[in-house]
Amino acid sequence: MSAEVFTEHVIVWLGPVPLTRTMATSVATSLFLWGALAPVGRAVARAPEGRLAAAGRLMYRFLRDLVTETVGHPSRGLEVFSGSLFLFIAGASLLGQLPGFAPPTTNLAATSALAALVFLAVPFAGIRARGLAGYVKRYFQPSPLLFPLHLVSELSRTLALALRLFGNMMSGHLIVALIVALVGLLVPVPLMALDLLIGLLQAYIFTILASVYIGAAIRVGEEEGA
Amino acid sequence: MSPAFTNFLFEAVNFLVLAAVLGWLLFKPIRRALDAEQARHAQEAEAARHQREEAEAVSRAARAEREAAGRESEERRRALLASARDEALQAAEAAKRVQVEDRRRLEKELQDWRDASAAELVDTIGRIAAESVRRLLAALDGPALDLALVRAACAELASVPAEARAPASVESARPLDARARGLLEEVLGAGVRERVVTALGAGVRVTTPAGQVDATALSVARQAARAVNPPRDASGASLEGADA
Repeated sequence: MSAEVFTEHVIVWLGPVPLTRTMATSVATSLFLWGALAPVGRAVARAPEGRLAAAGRLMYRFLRDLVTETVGHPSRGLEVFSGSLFLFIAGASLLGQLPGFAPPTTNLAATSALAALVFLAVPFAGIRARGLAGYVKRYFQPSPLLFPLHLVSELSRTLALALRLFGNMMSGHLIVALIVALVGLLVPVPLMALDLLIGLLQAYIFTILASVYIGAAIRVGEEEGA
Repeated sequence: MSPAFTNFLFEAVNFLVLAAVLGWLLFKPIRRALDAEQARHAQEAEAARHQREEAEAVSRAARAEREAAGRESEERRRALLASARDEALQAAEAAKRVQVEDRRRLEKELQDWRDASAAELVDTIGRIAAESVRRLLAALDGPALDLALVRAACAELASVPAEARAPASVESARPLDARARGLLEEVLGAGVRERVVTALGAGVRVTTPAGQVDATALSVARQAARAVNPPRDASGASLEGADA
């Protein structure tokens, strides 16, 4: 395990472009997820009666229920977006338990990127649901005077998303790294389990909040359109 | 280029690529499988609904047939009950008629038996009475009885006109003594023809052109028997009144 707070450890410079450690761990996490979950997709397609396929269907049904409760109806795009968010954060937290591996979610730039994607997904989904004018009109209701507050609300919750995930993941990982550095290998195991639990919980919270934000934009648009 | 900014951009692109790949390799097959499963479930539900409708139709038809059968059974039951009730009434009427006829027959038989018994009893009593009178007269048999009977015959002959009394013939159980003959000659005149008929028991029987005066023990016994058992016509009515 390792922890570098507020610093970017550059592994190598590819011309003007730096290749950081967080980028490497992100790629590793993505590759891990591809390698781990691609068989699940194949199993669902080829052996639907197997346990792997059942687990995949169970996971997707959970995700679909979550989105359906949030939006009011199934939404394929939101299902993929929210499911990817959850899997990425949870996978990063799981890989973060490996020695010398710092999950990308302990980096503020990475969590900010995820929050920014959520921030962009909200207007994208809202405009897609009700059109540009209808979506922009939402910021001026119930009174045009509330437009600044709406804007601040959008920015602040995005910031809160990024900082919450970063703070929780970074702190847990830092504590485990400190305990490992101080007392050895076996003592931190409970704390590592707690760190993993916190990581999964943060993945769930981040996914829920992202779904709620995007779903609210879709639902408001549809309710007004109706 | 700033490492943080590069990192930010890379993370965003990395996540989008990851989402695309996961959407293609993981979510799409699962979604297809779930949609197919859902479609299959919907199809099965539709088939089940169709089968349920068919079953309900069959059930309705069966219920209708059952109700029709129930109605028919009820009608048959009522008809059978009515028929049985009629038959029972007819049987009761027939039994009643038979009972009445039997009763009448028994009453008639009883009445006949009563009549026969009464007739037999009367006949017996008559015979007993006649026998009693005959025995009584036999006990009293003698000249005094003959004389008394002659006097009775003379008293009856006295009511007959004198010209119708002669010629007369006298029958007696025993030869008449002088006193009895004298009494008869006073009524009938001289020249009375006598004849002894022992079967008369006692007394005399006088035959005149006007008729016969029977004052014998046999006659008295017959009269006693007749008094107890008077002769009757075919309907059973007494002929005593007619005789009188």
